[in-house]
Amino acid sequence: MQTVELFPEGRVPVTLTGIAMIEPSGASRIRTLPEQASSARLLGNRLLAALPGDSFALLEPDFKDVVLPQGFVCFDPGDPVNQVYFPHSGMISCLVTTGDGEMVETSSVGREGAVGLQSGFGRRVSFTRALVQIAGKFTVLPAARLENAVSRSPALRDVILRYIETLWAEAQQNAACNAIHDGSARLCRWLLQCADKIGSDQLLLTQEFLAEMLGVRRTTVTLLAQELQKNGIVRYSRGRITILDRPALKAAACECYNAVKHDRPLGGTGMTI
Amino acid sequence: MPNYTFELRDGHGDLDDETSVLFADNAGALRYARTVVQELSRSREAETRTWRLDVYNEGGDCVIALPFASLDPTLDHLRPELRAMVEKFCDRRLSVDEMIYSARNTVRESQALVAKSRGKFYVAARSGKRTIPDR
Repeated sequence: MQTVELFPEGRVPVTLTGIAMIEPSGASRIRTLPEQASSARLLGNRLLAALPGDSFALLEPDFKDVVLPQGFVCFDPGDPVNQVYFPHSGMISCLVTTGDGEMVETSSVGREGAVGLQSGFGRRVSFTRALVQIAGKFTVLPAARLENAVSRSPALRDVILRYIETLWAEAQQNAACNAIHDGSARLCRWLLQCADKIGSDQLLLTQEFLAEMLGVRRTTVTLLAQELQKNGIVRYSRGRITILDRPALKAAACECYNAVKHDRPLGGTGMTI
Repeated sequence: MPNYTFELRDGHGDLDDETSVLFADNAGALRYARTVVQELSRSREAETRTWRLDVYNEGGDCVIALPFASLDPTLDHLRPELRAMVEKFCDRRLSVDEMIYSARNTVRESQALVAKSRGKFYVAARSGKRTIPDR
């Protein structure tokens, strides 16, 4: 077990090699998980599973498996992207922040992808805040190792480029969704995407977090969630949302849910993410 | 600073936000409530036009009643007297919806009470609310 010093506002240095577990006392600890078998990593993250065998072999010696708590900041805007995060059971949101502290989600990454992949093409700084939205297991890779592997593997470069394209498409769809669709439909779409990305219909999320993701007031989220609960679509208790009726939730979600689903064949590779 | 709570009246069983929010005064609560109404109604103005957001102070008194129609931007093109008429209609429609909802609940409760008194099965709860409420 390894301990790191937190930044004053509770951030963990982005150069970490382990996990930060927030304890009731407020103390934080970094812990790396025991070494995982390759098969476990391939089962957990679909992008890792989609990598060509030789590309995976290039990266695997530098993988570290960690658990990250909710609220963990992977990078802030302007931070160098030093690590790449491959979620297995958690989810990371990319947020645009404003000067007065407001945040809106522009994209989210779960077990279908990774955050920080742009660093595979050289030193990069983050444009958004990448925040762990749902705690879980992640595989972490030093950005320099990814850059090195990309320079040696055209196939890896191709996979990353195609994934970044889908992420870009998702960001564009989210921009349209935020501008056009109503709060209820957006909440439904967000819950479905979130459930898909972590592979569970039980979401550990506070109303405050949801409000920030959707760019609305906390009261608005509470009332929208209650409306869904009244219709038997979800069950909401403090900090936990359970999807009870997925077809009804899909029917109530905006069209963006189907537009940004990550289970389509990726380009001409026949790969799905 | 006083606490305020919110109740959304949609005519089909009210939705409460019991987690209170702190504001300096009623004016602060009104600004917040207006934003919440705009967020709830955006892109579904016609569906939510009859709704109302009530704001309660710590004493449980309704200090603000904000009809959605009064903030509906899709009604901005109407002449003031016509808009006032639409808003009045929406208010009455909400009252009617609430009366129908209440009457249905009373019928369900009566059916449940009769069934219960006869030792038969009855619907115990709908949408998480008991059919026969605790008195």
